[in-house]
Amino acid sequence: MTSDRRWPKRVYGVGEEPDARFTLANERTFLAWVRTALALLACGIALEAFDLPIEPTLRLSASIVLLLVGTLTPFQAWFGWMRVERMLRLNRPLPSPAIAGPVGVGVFVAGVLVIVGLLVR
Amino acid sequence: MSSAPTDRPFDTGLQIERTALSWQRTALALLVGCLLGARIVSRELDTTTLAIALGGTVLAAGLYAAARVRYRRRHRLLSEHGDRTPLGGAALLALTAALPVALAVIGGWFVLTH
Repeated sequence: MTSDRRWPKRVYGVGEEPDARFTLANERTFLAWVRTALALLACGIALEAFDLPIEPTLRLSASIVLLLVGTLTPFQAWFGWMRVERMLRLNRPLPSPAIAGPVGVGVFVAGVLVIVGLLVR
Repeated sequence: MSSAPTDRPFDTGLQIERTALSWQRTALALLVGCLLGARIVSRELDTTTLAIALGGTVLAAGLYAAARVRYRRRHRLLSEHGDRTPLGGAALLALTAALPVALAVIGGWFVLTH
């Protein structure tokens, strides 16, 4: 058991130091989730910022869906990173990303709203 | 004459280098997002626009610089001490995860008041 003083203790206070390659891969996954969040937020804002030929209520709904999903994604990035890093240190099976499904559903719903909004306009 | 350990990549898969590039892409995405957001939120060059643009630029530059320091430190540590060397804490990751949340608040304000 390590007496590591690094933060967060919930991660570094357990297990042993894993191969650095796994830690680095976990970090790249974290950053990929952060960039996904930025892209979702940009899409959500752009829907309302530009004068797009989409029915206003549906456009606003799609924008809010994308903003919500974009807000949740950084939490997946951080807590997902923590969970995976703990499992690496404990040499246990890695968890799956909890929010991948909701993100996919959210993007799908936003896409449907935009398509319908384009058709009914 | 053999080169010093730090003259060569620690890993033939270039894991540290790929991670550094990932940080750079993230900093660039943040910069572009903030500059576009500043342009979108306000059509005029007012205080809000400047705050978003300058704040985003400073944050992105800080993230980029921190990533460079992180890369050099890790390259040295792993080259000198091997692949089980502690690589440092996660404060930078927590700050990086907080940035999209802050942008979401600004974006939500804009969308709901636009």
